[in-house]
Amino acid sequence: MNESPGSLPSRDDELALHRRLFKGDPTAPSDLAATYLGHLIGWLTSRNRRCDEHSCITAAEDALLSLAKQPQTYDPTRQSLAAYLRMSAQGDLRNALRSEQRHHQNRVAESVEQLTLARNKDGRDDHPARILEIEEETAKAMGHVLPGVCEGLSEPERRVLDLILTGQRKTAVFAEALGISHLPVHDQRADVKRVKDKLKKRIEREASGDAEPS
Amino acid sequence: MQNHLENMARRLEADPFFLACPLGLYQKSEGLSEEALAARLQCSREALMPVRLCRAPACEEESFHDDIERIAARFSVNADALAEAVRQGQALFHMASGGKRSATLLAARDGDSERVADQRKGESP
Repeated sequence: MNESPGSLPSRDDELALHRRLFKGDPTAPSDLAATYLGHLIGWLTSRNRRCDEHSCITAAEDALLSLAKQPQTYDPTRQSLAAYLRMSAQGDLRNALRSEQRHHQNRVAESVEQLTLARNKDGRDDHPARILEIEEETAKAMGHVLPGVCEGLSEPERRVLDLILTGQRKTAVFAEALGISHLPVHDQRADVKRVKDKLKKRIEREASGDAEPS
Repeated sequence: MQNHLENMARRLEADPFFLACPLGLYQKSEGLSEEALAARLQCSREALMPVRLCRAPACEEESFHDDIERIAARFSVNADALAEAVRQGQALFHMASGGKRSATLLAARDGDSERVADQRKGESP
């Protein structure tokens, strides 16, 4: 068995390893991990550059553990063992990221909702300490989606995003941030609404995880 | 690479399918350092990691000793010492899980039984 972490075993070696797993050889899971863990981690991290290394490592481990426990899930007639493990690890990583994104999405939605409830309609803060606390929570939750939301935004649009995150509601303030204060009020409202709608769609798309890794 | 495998072995201390689990419980119950565990098993400290990544033999099955012998021979570990450590670790695991075998262990063993039955029928993957 070729156990060098940098190279993959031959077809005969990988078939032999799978046969040992299938027959319940107690040393086979150890050889499986030694042979493929490094390769899988390297492959996952290079293909999913936006993902943190820890998630890639966990996904690589999960793929190996699944095969060690259920070797019958791999069909040697369909593909190589390495290709099967890569596909399995990528699937595990995608599932983990979806779960994480759902968690972040809920946090963003809850924080924004709380922030809205905590402010009265005039934009005045009822409970400054609570508002500050919720703003911090919102900023923390938004931290995960902001890089994607901000990508390609113009400077005025970024200023509008900042104002939204601080709970600003006045059209005049947004109009000033966009540099359109000289326009008639009706036009200001239309332009502000267009930019806010664009930003909201971006936030929703990023929080829902539509921008997935490859 | 060695670090990744060591981290994986540490993660498997909670999974009774792997030897990392009974060996970890044995090590803790005996208060052994890595060096002391290696000395008890009469192997090198480096050999502990691949041993932990092996499948744990089922203590109640006839194949227990065969599996222990195979692991011991492969990684140059004392078979009797390994058998004692695994039995003690598995007993501790069963006690910790309320005297019953965990669902994970049962499922793993059910899978083993199916494979053994398949082998006896002369089937291969």
